[in-house]
Amino acid sequence: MPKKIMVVEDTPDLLQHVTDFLTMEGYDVEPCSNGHEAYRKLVYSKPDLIITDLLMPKLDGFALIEKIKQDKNMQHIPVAIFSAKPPHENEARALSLNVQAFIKKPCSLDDLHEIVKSILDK
Amino acid sequence: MRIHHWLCILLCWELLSCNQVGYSEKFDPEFSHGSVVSLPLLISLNAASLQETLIDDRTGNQSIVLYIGLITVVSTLVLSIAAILYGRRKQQVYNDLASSHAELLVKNKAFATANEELKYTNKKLEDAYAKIAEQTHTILRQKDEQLNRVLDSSQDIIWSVDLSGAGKHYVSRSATQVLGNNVRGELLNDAIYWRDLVIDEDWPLKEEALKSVLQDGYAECTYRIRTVDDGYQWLFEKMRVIDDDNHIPVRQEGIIVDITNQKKAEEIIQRYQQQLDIIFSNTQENIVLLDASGKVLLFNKAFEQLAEAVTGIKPAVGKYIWDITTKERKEVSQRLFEEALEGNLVKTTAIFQIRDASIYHSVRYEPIIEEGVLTHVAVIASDITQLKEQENILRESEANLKAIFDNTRDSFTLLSPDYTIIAFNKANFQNVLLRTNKELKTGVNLLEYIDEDRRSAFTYLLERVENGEMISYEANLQNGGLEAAWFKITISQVRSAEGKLFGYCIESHDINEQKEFEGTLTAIARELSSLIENANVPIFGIDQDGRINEWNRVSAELTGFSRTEMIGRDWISNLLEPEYSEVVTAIMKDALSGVPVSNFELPVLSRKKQKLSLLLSVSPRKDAEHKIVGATIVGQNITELIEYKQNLERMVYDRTRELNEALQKEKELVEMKSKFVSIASHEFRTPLSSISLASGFIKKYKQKITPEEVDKRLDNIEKQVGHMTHLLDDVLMIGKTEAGKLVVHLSEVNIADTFEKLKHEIEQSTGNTHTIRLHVNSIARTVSTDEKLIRTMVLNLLTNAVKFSPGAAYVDLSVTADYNKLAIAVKDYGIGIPEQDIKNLFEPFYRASNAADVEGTGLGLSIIKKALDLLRGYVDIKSVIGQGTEITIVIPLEHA
Repeated sequence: MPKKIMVVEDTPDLLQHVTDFLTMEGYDVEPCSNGHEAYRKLVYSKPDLIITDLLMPKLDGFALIEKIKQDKNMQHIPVAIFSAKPPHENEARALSLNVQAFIKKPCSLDDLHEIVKSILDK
Repeated sequence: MRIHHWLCILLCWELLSCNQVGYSEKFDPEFSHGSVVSLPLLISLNAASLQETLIDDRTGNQSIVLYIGLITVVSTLVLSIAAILYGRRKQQVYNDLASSHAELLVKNKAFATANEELKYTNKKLEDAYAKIAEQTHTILRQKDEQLNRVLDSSQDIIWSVDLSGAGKHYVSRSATQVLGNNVRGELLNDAIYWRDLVIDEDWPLKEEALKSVLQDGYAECTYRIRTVDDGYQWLFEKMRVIDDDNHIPVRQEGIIVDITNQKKAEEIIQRYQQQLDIIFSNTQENIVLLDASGKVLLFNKAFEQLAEAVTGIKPAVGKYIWDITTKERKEVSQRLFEEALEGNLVKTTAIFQIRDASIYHSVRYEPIIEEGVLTHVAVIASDITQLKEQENILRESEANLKAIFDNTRDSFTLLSPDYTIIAFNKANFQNVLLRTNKELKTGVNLLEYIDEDRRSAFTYLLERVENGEMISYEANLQNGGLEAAWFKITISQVRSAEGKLFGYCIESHDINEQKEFEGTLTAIARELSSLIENANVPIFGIDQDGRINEWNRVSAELTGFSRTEMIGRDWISNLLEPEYSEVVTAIMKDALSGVPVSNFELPVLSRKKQKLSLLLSVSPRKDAEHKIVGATIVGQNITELIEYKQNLERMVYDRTRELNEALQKEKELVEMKSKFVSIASHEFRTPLSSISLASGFIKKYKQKITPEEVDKRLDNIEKQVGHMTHLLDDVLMIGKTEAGKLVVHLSEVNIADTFEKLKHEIEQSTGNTHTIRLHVNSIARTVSTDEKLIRTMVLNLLTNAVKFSPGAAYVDLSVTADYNKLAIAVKDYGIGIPEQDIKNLFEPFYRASNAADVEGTGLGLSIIKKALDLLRGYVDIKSVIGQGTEITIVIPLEHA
């Protein structure tokens, strides 16, 4: 049973690239183009990991993470932030929301894969 | 008197009755014997009466009393004898009558008738006798009363003591006054004796007198008796003894006079005399009393001491006055005494030498004349040595004064009330006098020395002095062909000790030096005044009450108040606003107590109520004796300085504000730049991520994926590179405009072609999501403008319109060009812009609050604004939330 990863990214090209790579690596990928869509899907879909961008229309990354952490059914799901924003601007907030990892854009496929694997192997 | 008169009458009657009985023929020796006895008695009585009358004449009342007493004694004696004789004779008659009784009986009848007649006559006689008796009694009573009145009216006590044992004592009623009422009665009743009354220690005196009266028949004594109030009275008593014919004392009688008052007066006189003696003996005056021959009768202790000290001779009573004085004064003394003998009061001053010291005495020879006869001469000498010494001192000081008077450089002239010169000093010759060329003489009227034309003026001055003024003036005297000289002349009244006008004193004092000094001083003062007056700063002075007494030119110019206006006015209330008066009053108080106050700023009000800022320094002002008499205030007009300062402050403030604004801008710019960098990096990172992932994907799965898959990723990489290039262009554009490196390049731009191209370019680049409806309305085919800037602006506007209207079908692009301007309007039907964000839209990287979801650099509108600024155009934004936004840019068209 492959691990299920939800990817939330508003830049369509980037979402496509990440989805394609993770699928190729054997994961069950659920792509979402904004936080709103992601939260809606989480009601019935239980991923093993959520990778989310921060700056997004409708529901941005932090808002989505807060919602997840407040929901008993989802708060146990590990979350990784995938953002171009420098980490020092968001680290404190990310830590308070118990985020598992911060993946800085741009990053290589290997780096991405390492982080995903390390979270899912725990 | 009355008693022996009465006796006389009785005897006379008896003699008469003997004769009347009618026995003359038949002479009865017995009977005649009575008459014989009675007759000499009567004569002796009358003789006594005569003697008494004589005594009466000599001794007055006292004698009368004595006389009466004597009579009484004698009368009693005679009466007793008469009664005995009469009794004997009666017995004989009775015997004769008995023998002739028978004869009588015979004759009785014959006489019966006659008897009746006789009875009748008898009766008549009896009546007459009764009347006589009554009258006699009345007379006696009256006489008795008179005697008593006389005795009782006496102030003296008259007493009589019976020594025979047959009579009574008598004490006159006046004893009551002297001794008290009871005492008289008790004395009369032998209840007390005189001895009881006499003061014990004086009794021997009385006793002595009692002895001597018995021996000599008369005695007198003075002694005291006690009074009821435990005091005493002085009595003077005279007494004598009355003997009977046989020289046997029968009565002792006396008269006592109360001499208490006299005694007391004597005591007082004696006391005074003692006191006078004390004065006489102890006075410092030397007193000698001489008789008319010049012999010493009396001298006091002071004289005795003086005489001994001066002459070595002890004065003694009986010596001549000139024998107890010095040899040198002998003759003088004699001559003076002789002069006094003529009744003149002689005065002289005598100088005695006692042990090298000269003693001055004022000596008076005073004649004493009693009842027109010169009886004594009193010599009285008083020591006036001290007086003489004082006189000498006075004389010396007078001489000194005279020396001063004559040696002083000031001249003094004393005038009588009629201006006659009484006295003047030597100095007159040296100054005033020399100028008149006339010798000053006493007794000459001063007016003679004064030029005629000045006399009336001088007289007027003297009249003023007479009315109580003291005239003092300075005169420049030029007479006598000498150099003019200044004198201060003072004329004053001279009054005698009684306050009467004695004359005038004219005093002239050479004040040439003073004048010269004054001149120098005046010059200095004038220079100083000029210095103050012409100083370029306001200077003014105040007195101790804060009233202005100096006011220089600048003060007047500054304030507009002239010197005459300000002098005497209170500066605080006249020049300052009330709010400053308290603090300035305190400052002035300090200054007037000697503490200078420097550099305090004070607004002063000018005449036109203009506020002048003065910087003032106050220093105390002192007179020659270093006494503070006021304060000098030196100011500096700092009104302009203050204005300049205020301007400067304002400028500094403005500059500071500008600087702060610039700093703020700089800060904002730095923030913007940092934000720009941050956003830019983010904007670059996203396409870089795509590139990185796409290239990594190809590299990793090139064996597993199809060539189409590879191409698709490569295309995406190309696209991302294009986006990044565009982003970089925008950033560079901003950078260029910020750096002022962007310049306008005008060229003829074909409107229709240019906008048509832009329309397609945007439609393609945004994936044909929207149709851009282009409307061109231009009077010319081409306009002269910068095509590149137009392109940049329109591309940005259209991209935004598409980006912020997702789902909308159209974007309208209207281009209007007339001769003056080119207007380009882009209208979308999208989310709209919140009103509060519109004003900030043109700031670089600013993004509207509802634009967070939309990708962008935040540089588009900022670039448009920069481009418009270069083209001197403007922008207009109309937007409604949820309906869309229309942005119009207007660019003025320039013609060569």
